[in-house]
Amino acid sequence: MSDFRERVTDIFREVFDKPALELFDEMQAKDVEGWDSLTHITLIMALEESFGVKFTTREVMGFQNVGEMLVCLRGKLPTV
Amino acid sequence: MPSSDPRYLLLVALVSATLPLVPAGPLRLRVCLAVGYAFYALLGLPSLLVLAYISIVSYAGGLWLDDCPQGGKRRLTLCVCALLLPLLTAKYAKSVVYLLGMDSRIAADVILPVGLSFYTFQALGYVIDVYVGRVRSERRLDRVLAFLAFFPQLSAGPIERASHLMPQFERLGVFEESRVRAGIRLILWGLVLKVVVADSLAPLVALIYSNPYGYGPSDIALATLYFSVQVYADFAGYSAIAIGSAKLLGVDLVPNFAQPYLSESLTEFWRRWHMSLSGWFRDYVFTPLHFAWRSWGAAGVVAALVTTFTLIGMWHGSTWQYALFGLWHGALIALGTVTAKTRAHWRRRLGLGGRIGGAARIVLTFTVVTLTFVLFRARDVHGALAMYSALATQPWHLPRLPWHWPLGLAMLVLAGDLVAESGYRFTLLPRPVRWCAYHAATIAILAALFGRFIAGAPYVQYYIYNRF
Repeated sequence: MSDFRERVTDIFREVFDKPALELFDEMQAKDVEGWDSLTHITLIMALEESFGVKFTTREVMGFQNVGEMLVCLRGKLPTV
Repeated sequence: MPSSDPRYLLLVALVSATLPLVPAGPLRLRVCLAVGYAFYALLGLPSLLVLAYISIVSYAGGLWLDDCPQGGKRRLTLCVCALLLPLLTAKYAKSVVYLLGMDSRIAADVILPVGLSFYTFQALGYVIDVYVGRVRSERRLDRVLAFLAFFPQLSAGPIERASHLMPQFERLGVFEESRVRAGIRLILWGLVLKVVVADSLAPLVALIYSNPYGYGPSDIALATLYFSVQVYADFAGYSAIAIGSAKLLGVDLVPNFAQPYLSESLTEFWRRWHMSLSGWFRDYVFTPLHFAWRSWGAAGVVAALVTTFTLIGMWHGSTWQYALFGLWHGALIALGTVTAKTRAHWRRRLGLGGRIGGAARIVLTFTVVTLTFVLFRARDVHGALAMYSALATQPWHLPRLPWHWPLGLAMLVLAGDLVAESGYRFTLLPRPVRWCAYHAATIAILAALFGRFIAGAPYVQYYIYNRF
């Protein structure tokens, strides 16, 4: 697993309080117990804080699964 | 024409029987679209024009928004305003004219087309989804027209999403025995809820609520309890008939109710009550508001919740009672949200997390919801306040309203919900038992209709949610 994905997985695990949670690209809110509209924003905020980025409303409303979220997040990070 | 009208059921039977005979593809979709427009034309030309306007704005707006992958906020704002214009005019023009002290004749002719708030929200969802990239804009006009004029859900939802309904158009008129059977069962259960339960309770509720100062607390409490059952049976009955009718045409609509009165909290109640509307507000109002106010911490959550639920209340009507109804729910849900961890902690410490604690929370949630329904059902805020005051201050005597058969109907609804909640499938019952239930349901529906016919009462009544 890449560092990026590992870091994101850790954030997911912490937000949803599920130490064994494994991410997959097609994963949606219905696949994770406790992922509701409130924790969704908590997750977004945790990602923003951890990676030092800002999402837009349009992006947040457009995410249909974890894969799309990760692509958007990676696109905001400086390329090495 | 409400869907409990035998003529509607005849139309569904006719369309579902003839649609498979039409060649699959665009022609079948257009036949379904023509039925939708013919059905809606019964309401009159102005309503039909409004539906056509909303559909064309959605179609053109979708293409326009898809044309600008970056930015496009102004375009979205313009589309949203254009889509909301008929709804805001129809719902709030009379109130605005009244509040501004203008001549009431200005807005006297404004009508609220049946289903306008439902298909407007469906259209808004579509253009917003195109804007945020959840769906691509639809190039074919007939598909957008059919999306907003699918006749089983045209008059009161469920509010569909383009990503869910449009792909199913390929399946229109495709006969699948299991889906057809499920559809007929849903229609039958929906008719029991509407014709037998809701329409039987309606006169008792109307009697008390038409004279809020004339009855004591026991009658008010009983009528309010009956209204909780009536409004649920009315709308869940409508939804079951709509979802069942769609199944006969080969389409699965989104569920609208999931045993809401078995909820352990108000938050859970709104996840189970009018789910297509609450889900719409969650995705298109609450989430962007909460996201925009995320730096405010708990205050942001509270502000987003209270705003969202007040808007949900106002969606029902332009009078203060609906705004207060929404505000009340929003405030309690906000309180529940900010105290969730503390309450869970104390629940664990006091050992209230078990079945008895759960049952107590269900009763408490139902009681709170029922109390808020006084505002929802009353003629106005003054009427509601008079009833709350009577409940709190006047002495309780035996009620004048009948209680044995209405409570029997309430038990029937509760039994249906408990079975559904347990996950037990009706189809697992032995065949003779199932057929006994079908016959009993049919006899009950016909008896209720015949009873009203004999009594000279209207045998078919419009749904409560038709006026929203």
